[in-house]
Amino acid sequence: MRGFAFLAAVLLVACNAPAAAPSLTPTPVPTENVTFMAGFKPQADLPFVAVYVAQEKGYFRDQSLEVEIQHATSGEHIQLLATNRVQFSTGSAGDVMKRVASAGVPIVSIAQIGQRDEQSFAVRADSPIRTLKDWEGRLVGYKSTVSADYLALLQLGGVDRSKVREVAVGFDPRVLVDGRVDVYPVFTANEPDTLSRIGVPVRLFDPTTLGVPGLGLSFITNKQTIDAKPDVALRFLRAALRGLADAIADRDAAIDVVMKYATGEDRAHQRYMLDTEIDAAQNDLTRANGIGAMDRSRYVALRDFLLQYGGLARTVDVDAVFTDRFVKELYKDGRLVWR
Amino acid sequence: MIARRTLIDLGVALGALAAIAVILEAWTRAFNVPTYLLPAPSAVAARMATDAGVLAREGGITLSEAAAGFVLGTGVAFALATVMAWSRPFERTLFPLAILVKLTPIVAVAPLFTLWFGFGTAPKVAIAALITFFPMLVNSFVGLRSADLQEVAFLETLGASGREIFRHLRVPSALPYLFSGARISLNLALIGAVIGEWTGADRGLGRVIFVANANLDLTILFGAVLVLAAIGIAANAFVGAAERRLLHWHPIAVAT
Repeated sequence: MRGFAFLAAVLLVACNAPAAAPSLTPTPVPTENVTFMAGFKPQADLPFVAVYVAQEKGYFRDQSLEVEIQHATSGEHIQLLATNRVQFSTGSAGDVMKRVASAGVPIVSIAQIGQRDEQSFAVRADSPIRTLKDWEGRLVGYKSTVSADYLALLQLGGVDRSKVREVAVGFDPRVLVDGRVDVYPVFTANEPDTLSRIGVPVRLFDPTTLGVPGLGLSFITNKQTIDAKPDVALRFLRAALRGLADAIADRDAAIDVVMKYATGEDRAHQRYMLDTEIDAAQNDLTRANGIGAMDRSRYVALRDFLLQYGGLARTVDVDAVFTDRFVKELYKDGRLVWR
Repeated sequence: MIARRTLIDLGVALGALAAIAVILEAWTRAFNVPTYLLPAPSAVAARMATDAGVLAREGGITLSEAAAGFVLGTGVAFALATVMAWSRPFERTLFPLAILVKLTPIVAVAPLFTLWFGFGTAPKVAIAALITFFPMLVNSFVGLRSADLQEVAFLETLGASGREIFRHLRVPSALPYLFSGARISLNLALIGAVIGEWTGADRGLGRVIFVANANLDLTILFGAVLVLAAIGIAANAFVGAAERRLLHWHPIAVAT
């Protein structure tokens, strides 16, 4: 009897596999070591969360990947990705275009997580500024350079730029609190909550809502990986997107995982960030094709918009900056196929 | 003699720089290194020539911020060092505060300076002043305390007042230390101004470097760094010349 129980236990362990796996076990592939470098500090940016959760749940290992997670501190992830010291990272679609257009950096977006512009312009909730036209005569901040978004909003609102005072404000939103600026550029998933927590709720001028063709964070890799190891890219993305799906299904559990990386960060703020980015990751395109889906026409629109407003030094072939081949292969009828 | 030695030193430094540039040029060409990883020195030089006006203008802004910060920071440091050298209780009170200032990570607090002083030149000057403060404080304090006690006693027996002893003995004794502090502080002031420009500025070499880094435009980034280095070298040379002139009687002037 004891022998039978032992045999049953051995069989159970041997047969242990993800619930979603098909009955036929795939041919084992050698484990590949890859590095994912998040484009910023540890926090609940949705692509980061996807990787954190996939790592936590062993999805990468299931895909025969040993993933080392790193975080960039000052934009070094792009160079590291270009030289293949890092195989996967994150970057906004617009940034990827800029890097490819201006410096010929061999990087490619492989899944579009943020389906809308990740930045907005904030005014204090009690500000008399109600419309874009009200920006005239006001002090408007920009983080490092005047952005294409900003210029597009001025045009959309019929704002006379010569009547707007522009100032470089850096990355500390408290300048909006003490009234040093009237309009402050924010990451929609981040600073509005920070400001609200210190007692200064804000209203947002959201470029996407106002018709500016923006896109948010995407998973990116380098051409070397795509050309030489497309299966690795596919497996990485499969695991990460499964992690992302889990994060959407159980946000509290996802934040538990995030906090293991984002030590010292405020949990509620991380939750705000996650909720905001989950909203921004879903639209009609993703409902039909799955989270991370890519639409060529939106990249073309983004490129043309950036060119129009000086966001790109020169034009770029959109087919060189993104590929939807992996996402298309991973989803069937809008559902992630796990194998 | 000094001029000849200076020329020789300059020649050696330029020769070393040229050798490094030749090696880097060969390296980047031989291995076809992309510009966004390491631009060839020739590309940097070409960019510097193209944007010479921009670099000169922005360099001038950074230099003016650094100079103002240097004057402010070292001035306050010298004043406090004088008080500390004068009074043990003040020394015991102020020195821990000075160490606190020294240990404060400038990059972390720099954004606060924008909150306190606005977006103009003031926060950059304040950061440059803060970063130059401690080296000058320590050097001034040690220098003012370094006066020979027998000489102090001698002047006191002659009826010299404390102010006279300070002016005619303590300050001259402190000069080598003050110049040493100035050499350190000048370069730190430049770094402080650049850090200030990183946290929110629309002008200056720090902003050029910040934007270039964001755009992976390494030719202008290295160009700005070289301009910054040139300013630092020129500032050091200026202090060195002043030191040799004022301390011609001191062995340190012969050694530098």
